[in-house]
Amino acid sequence: MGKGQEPVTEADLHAFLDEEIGAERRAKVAEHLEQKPLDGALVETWRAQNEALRGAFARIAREAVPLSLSLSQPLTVRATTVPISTRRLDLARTARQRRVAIASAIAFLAGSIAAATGAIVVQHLPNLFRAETSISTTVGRRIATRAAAMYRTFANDRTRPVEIAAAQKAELGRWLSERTGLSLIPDFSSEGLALVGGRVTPGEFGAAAFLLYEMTTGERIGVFLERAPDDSAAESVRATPGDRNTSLYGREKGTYWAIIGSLGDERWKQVAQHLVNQIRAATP
Amino acid sequence: MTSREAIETLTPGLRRYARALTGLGNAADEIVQATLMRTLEEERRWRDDELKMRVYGTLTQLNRQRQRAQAVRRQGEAPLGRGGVGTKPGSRREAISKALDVLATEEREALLLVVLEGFSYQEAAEIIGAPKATLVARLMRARAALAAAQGLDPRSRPNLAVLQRRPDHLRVVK
Repeated sequence: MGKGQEPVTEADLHAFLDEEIGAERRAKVAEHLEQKPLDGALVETWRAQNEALRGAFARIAREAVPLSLSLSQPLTVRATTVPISTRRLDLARTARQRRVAIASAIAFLAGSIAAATGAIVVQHLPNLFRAETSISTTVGRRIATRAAAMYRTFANDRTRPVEIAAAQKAELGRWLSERTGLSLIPDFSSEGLALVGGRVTPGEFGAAAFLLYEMTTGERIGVFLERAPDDSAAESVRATPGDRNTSLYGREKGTYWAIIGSLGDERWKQVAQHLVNQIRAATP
Repeated sequence: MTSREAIETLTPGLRRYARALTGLGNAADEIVQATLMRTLEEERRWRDDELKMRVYGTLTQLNRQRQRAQAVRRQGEAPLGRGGVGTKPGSRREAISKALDVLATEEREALLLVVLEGFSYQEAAEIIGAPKATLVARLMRARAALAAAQGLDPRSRPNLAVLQRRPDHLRVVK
């Protein structure tokens, strides 16, 4: 008995449908299907499945490929976990930034004063103007903007402000460590701030951490942490105004950090100093 | 054709596979992007004839990693599920995506590579890194589970000649 004459199995029916079958065997299966209409119905069910599946997803392959996936375009966003050197980009950006520094400083000042709670921000301004423009502040500014957007998105979310709550701090720590390479979950209990929880979030260079803390009054502050791709740039602390919130940002031991929320001026400095100390302590 | 152009011709199909495999909406493109990046990084080691399978293999691996990471993260929480995101409610794609949701990842890979992306059994087996027999077994389980999920399972009917003879094929994954 040749291979073509062995009894038809279910695998044969699949091979028949998928055209993974030799001519002799195909004839045997076709004959079987004629004799056993229920098996024929089974094959037809699968054939209908195939068509439904192809039909359902056909449109995606016909869509224009998003720019982010086009290899002909310069890649500005990369979804790898490999740290990317952005030093040259940053230098170019810094040069641009110097040119617009005066203009933006004026806008910054005007915006700050216009803010209802402008006092906090204005008090930070002297520091801001003293600080030198550096690579880290260019990146830092973008990180502060990111942190502010996350704060607006998550801090007032009633349902799910954080992905993993403080109750599962160990799990949160493992997750953040795995994704961001940073094992630190800062503790601000001495400042009267309790950890709400945190999440992995997009950063400037890869995955970053966003953590929320809560005061007894219910006010929340956000802390953004991201591992910097290299350790060369200077450290500096800057302030930017949010809409109602202030953010402080800087870079310490290869970690970009930003804190955002509404706090009194002195509290801010304490919390920021506390954060910097903890980053120092956690970084070898 | 340069290697970049060669990869670009594969991108539409990769997006389709990623969308169906992950059940994610636009976020599925992220895994495609990671796939393209990794492929470019490995560029020097390619041979042209294996490019397509290599790229699909990379996407398959990245998706498995993603799902493992998700599984660790979601320990102790209710599973979020796979499908539904990025599909219009009531659409045909939503219905299919929900049905795909009942499949194990390995079953979904086998089904999508063969049916949606048109790979041969041998090619699909190489992409998933398993023997051909394993690929076929997963494909069979996928089809059975999908039919059961859609309430179309002819196995519920009696007197199916093939199944009577080979009861070991009756295994329905659910």
